[in-house]
Amino acid sequence: MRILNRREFLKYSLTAGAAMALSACENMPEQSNQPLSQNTEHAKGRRKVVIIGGGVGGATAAKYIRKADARIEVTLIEPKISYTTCFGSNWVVAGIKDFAGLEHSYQDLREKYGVKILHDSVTQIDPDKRKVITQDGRNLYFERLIVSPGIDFHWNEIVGYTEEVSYEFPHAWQAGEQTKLLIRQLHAMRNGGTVIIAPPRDPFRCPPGPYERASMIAHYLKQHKPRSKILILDAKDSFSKRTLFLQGWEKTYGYGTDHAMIEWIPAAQDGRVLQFDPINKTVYAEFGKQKADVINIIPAQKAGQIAHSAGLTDETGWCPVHHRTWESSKIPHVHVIGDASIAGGLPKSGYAANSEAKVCALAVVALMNGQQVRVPSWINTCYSLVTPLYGISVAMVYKVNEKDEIYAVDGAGGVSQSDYDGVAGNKLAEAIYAKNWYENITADIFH
Amino acid sequence: MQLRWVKTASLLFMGFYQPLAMAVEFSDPEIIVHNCYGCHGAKAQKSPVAKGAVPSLQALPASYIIESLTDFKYDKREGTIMNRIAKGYTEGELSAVASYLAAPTNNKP
Repeated sequence: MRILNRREFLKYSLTAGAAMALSACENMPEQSNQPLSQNTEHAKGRRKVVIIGGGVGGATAAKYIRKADARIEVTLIEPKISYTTCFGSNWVVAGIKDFAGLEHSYQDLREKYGVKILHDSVTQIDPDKRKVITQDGRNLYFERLIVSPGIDFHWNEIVGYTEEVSYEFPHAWQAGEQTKLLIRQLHAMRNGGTVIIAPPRDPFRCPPGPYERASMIAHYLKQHKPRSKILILDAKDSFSKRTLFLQGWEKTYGYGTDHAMIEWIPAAQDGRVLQFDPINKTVYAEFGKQKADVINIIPAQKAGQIAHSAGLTDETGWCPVHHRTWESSKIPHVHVIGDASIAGGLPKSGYAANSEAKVCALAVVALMNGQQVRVPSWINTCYSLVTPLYGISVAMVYKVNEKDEIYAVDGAGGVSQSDYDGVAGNKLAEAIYAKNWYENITADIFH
Repeated sequence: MQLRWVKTASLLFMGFYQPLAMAVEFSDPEIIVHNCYGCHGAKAQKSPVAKGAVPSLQALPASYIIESLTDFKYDKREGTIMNRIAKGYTEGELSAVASYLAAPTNNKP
């Protein structure tokens, strides 16, 4: 892009001011097509943001918009009465956390920040009339819409693993009943049983998650069912924090020995699962078939359903956005954040969704107030537990260049110190920070 | 209609985004601080698991914050993740973060 000198910049700024006034007129709902009530609301000058999805992205955006400008009315649409975080849900398996401790109500968003919470589902987005239509027949006008729908699954990509089958063989990749079912099955399993975890191809929610899950299940089995075994049948050849996980497994779970509690079979060793037979509790991987007692297939993923029906996704199944504002590159005035968005190098993590939501919130406020959008930056920090007292992390700072591309800052970030470097590292400190992080990020999102 | 929108959008883009003369833009300090809250909390959080393990950012003098952040950045102080995070920002950005955090009106829940 050509660099503007000061005079040119001022000229464009002034023109933009005029354009803003013009666009404000253009964007008024067309009188003839709109119900009277909506025009009345608009005429009163009530500025409205609607947010779809009360997970990490949606809840954070709601709170931070209200904190930045309490004159903006924010309606958060979420069918569930409370939100169960996916992060931390592996810890329940190891008995580090109660399931109830994963659940967060919307009471503080409503009472402390004045967010309107609507327990309903959006069935349709009408970008021309700027309204969403809900299952209960509500019709809500928005000046800006933020869509934070999380993930949906590619059912039957592993042949036989359908949505119906997932009610009996949980993926547990959306926390809630699925998490509880997986834990019940692990508790019911015999000593000497086999657990299969089948992580998906990239990209997917919580890249270190399947491997932390293996760790937490191993911690439980080591104490209660020590003759049991976990097989990770992977669609990939590497994974997040791999060196640190393998090192932790060697130290704790006999990884690489004859008595290994965890065995990881990558795609290169024909570990990829192709088919599932629920009746015989058998998976068919590229190496052949394997029977197991508990089977946890985590299917390949795409953006949440509403993103697809609204036309916000591209051929990848995820949503392209402008990264300074998180406004959709496909539909103006609609922003997409969290796991559903294409976020450059930012992973599909809770921390990233929280970080994206804050940048989006301030951008939405700026755009609605005719102010300059600020220069963004993001952080991702992901802790994983190998045991309750053995924590590892990955962190990165992200910025955006003039081409609107997010980049990881050179020299920053990376994973925890490895024990191979000849130092003990900070595994205990990181385990304590991990648990403290859960309390602080959920407070930042919901409370 | 379509063309008009495109024109409006491109004018808006040029008007409201930072001038692009600088090779690397100065990140907004408030946005950086919002990212800190992901671990540190917007105010002192009471954690039943590890109370106070991650320090609160409230009521700290700017001089202490800037010293800590630059020490992490240049590995003069050993932390767990803060060395990795602090390297993501210029000294100017870290200084702006310290000023923002130390201003009593800014760092509120």
